[in-house]
Order: sequence, then structure tokens, then C-alpha cells
Amino acid sequence: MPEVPVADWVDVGQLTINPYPVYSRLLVESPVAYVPQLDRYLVTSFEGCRQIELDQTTFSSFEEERSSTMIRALGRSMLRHDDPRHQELRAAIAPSLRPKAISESWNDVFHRLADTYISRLKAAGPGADFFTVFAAPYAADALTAILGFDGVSAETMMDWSHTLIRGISNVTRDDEVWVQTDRVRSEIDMVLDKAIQRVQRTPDNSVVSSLVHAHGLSDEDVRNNVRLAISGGMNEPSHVMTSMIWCLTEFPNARAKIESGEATWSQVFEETARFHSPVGMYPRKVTRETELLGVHIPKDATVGVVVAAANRDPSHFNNPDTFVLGREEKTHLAFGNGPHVCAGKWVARAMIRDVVMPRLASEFNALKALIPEETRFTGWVFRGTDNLPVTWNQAN
Amino acid sequence: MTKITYIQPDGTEIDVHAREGESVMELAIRNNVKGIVAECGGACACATCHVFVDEAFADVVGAPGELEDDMLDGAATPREQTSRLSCQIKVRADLEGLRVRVAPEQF
Repeated sequence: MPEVPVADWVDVGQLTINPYPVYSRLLVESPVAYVPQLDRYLVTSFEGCRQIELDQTTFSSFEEERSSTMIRALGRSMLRHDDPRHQELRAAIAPSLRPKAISESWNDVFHRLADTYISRLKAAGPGADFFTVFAAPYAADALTAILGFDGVSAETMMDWSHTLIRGISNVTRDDEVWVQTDRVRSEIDMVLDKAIQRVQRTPDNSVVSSLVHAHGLSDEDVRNNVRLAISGGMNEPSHVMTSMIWCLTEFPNARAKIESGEATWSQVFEETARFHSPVGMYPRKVTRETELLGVHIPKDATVGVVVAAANRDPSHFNNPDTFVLGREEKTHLAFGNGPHVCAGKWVARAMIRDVVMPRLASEFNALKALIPEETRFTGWVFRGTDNLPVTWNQAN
Repeated sequence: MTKITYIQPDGTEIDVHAREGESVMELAIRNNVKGIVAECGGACACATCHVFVDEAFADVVGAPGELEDDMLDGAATPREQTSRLSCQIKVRADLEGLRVRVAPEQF
């Protein structure tokens, strides 16, 4: 029996600062490897990540409640179910996030928010932090609207989202984190109660309305999946928007292509999501002894599906560590794959690719990062930058 | 075994034989037919398995369901009269000889 590759050199501290050199080495040496510091098998190859998603029986999302920080923070949402229950919950949220809902309701919201936050960025002037002034509050307000909440400020939504994420990441089981998670759950419940009453009278395209009017969902299901949407629907869009500005500054060839019209915003969006995947890794639980790409994985092991690494797999992408617009290989795994593929994918594309970036390009002259070489991206499970001073040419 | 033909944007034709009950998407993936991406694995959640059904088979294949119809509005290649998401077409004996054109873009 061949030895299981053990990557004892992988250091979590290094992953958090910059995981990409770690991924490069794993992709070459051991694309399925046991990592002692994490007590899990990290799968970094494109093929490996795809194969996992094709077999949800072996690679389950179910997780036992008592050992799950995500379930403690959010309750058991669709993300911690397998089919058929997962598909029922997924079908319940889908109407609010589909092309039709976007064209009927969300497109107008995206443009209205672009008006607001472009004004704020202009008022803040060159040197302003794009993330704090534009990307973060924009994404927060968009999420609030899509959820169907009234009267929730961007600051409040950001507090809710970040606190829930801290709960999900609370592997050390710090009690203070649970205190804050529980506080946020109460605050959300108060607003959600009102939203539920409203949509029961008057259905609309919102997430709350879709969940409330779906068949077979308990009140608890509605709340758990609203919390899931809050934790998952804000940080990634804000990170991708910010990253796109940075990439177009750092890579002048790409910038020239989008300015000349040779490349599209779709290409910039997808390549940014591939290059700087906002979600880097998600877990699966192995339900039976199995073999993946020739490596034996025992029952009850935890597997990390490292999509950020798969998106840099040299077996799948030519020049994977180069930012290239108009790639031959169009498929990437930034939104995941298989039954749990990101439900917010359409919304993210409509918001960022179809509204935000074209609007910014038309309303700012030469918008770019001020000091791109000083930008710090952090994290590996979720990765992005929370600070991006930008500049642009102002008309005299 | 039912014969299904996939026609690529460049005109290349690929004949494959389907098992009863599998979808036109699953058949494509199983036979490495290029251009069918199937990101969501058949859950009607991604619109990356878009095909155009040959006119002669449009009636027997039928129209898209409500969810599929909505997803087709968001497909990367603009939908045509006979557009379907291939994960939603289940192979049956009366689909013998079905011809589908693979959409040029799934993204």
C-alpha cells in the first residue's frame, strides 16, 4: 500500500500571509496530502477538487452538530446538508437569486447603490480607501436589499456578517466569540421577524420571501439560511471588486486590453476570481474509506477542498500564476462545483461585472490603486484585502 | 442504447450511445464531449450545459420547465428557440438519433 503523502512542512501562519507558494509546492509534490497542523487532507489539484464534488455520498457536507462551529454559529443551513434535503433548501432560496429576480428587482438596486457610493467616493477624493468607502458598504447594502430587510445600515450588516464569520471560524471555541454570535443572532431575529410578517402579506423577490413561501421549510430553516446568506453574501463580492481594481493596476497589459475593448468585464471578473479566489477552501467529511487520485483516505477524515489552489493548477491552466484575460481554459472553481455551487453566483456577476465595474469605468478617469505594491492580502480560507487607497484623474 | 449526436460549434459531430435514464449532460460528461461544463452537476443551478436541440426533435424533447426556462435567460450564449439545459433532458428510447448543438460559450 503506497504511503499517504504527509505535508508536515505546511504552516498555517504562512498560509494566512500568502498561501500561493504553499499551493504551488503541494500541486507539484502531493496534490492530495495529509497536513498534520490542520489534521485534514488538503486537496489542491483541479481534478481532485472536481472529483470530490461529483461524489457527495463519500464527501459529505453533513457535519455532526456538536463538532461544527458553522452549525453553532448559523444553525444547520443548506451548506451542512446533503441531497435530498440540501436540494430542497437550495430550491427554496433559488427564486430570489436567479436571472429573473435580478432583471426584475436587483439590477435597479445595483444601479441605485452605484449612484450613492460613486458620489461618496468622489466626495472622499483621490487617496480614499476604495474598500471602506465603496466596496464594503456597497456589498452590505446590496445584501440587505436582496435579503428583504428594511432599515439596516451598512455598518450593522457588516457587523452581523463579520461576527457570524468569526463564529464559523471559532475553532478554539472562544466563549466571547459565542457571546457576540448570539448577540448578532438576536439582532437579526428582530429585523427578520418584521420581514417575515411583511412577505407573508406581500410576497416579493427577496431571499426572506422565497424561503418563507417555499414548501417544507420550518421557521428554523428560514432563519438558518438567512444567517447563511448574511455570512456568505457580502465579503466575497467586496473582496472581488477591490481585487479587480488592484489587478488592473498591477497588470498594465490587462488594463490596456479592457480600456481598448479587446477584453470584456466578464473576462476581468472571472480571471480575478480565479487569480485571487475569495473563498480559498471549504471542508468535506469522508463517510467511508476511499481513494482519491491514488491516495487512501480513511473514514471520518476531514478533507479541505482548496479551490484557490485548484485555480492555479498548472495541469489545468497555462501560466497559472499569471493574470491573463481571455484564457482558453474558461472553467474555474472560485464558485465551487457540484450541488453546492455558489447560489449567489448570478447576483455576484450581475452586481460586479455588469453594473459596478462598467459604472466605475465610465464615471472615473483612470481609477487605480495608489500604491499597489503596499497592498496586503490576508487569509487563506477567505482571502482579500480590506484596504485599497485609490486615485483617479479629476477634471479641472 | 440510444444514439445521441453532439455537434460542436466548428461542425464536428460526436456520436455517443446513452443509457436509459441518464441525462444528455451526463452522457456528454461521461464521453468527454467538450463544451458541456455542468458546473453544478445537474442541479439546474448554473446554465453551463446549454445546448440547441435540432428542430426535428424539438417537439419530442419538449419545452424547458419553469426553473430551467429562467436559468436559460441567464445563459452565456443567448438562448434560441430550441435551447435546453442538457442536464434536464433525460434520455428515452424515443430520443433515438437526437441531435444537439453545443452552445459556443457556457460562461
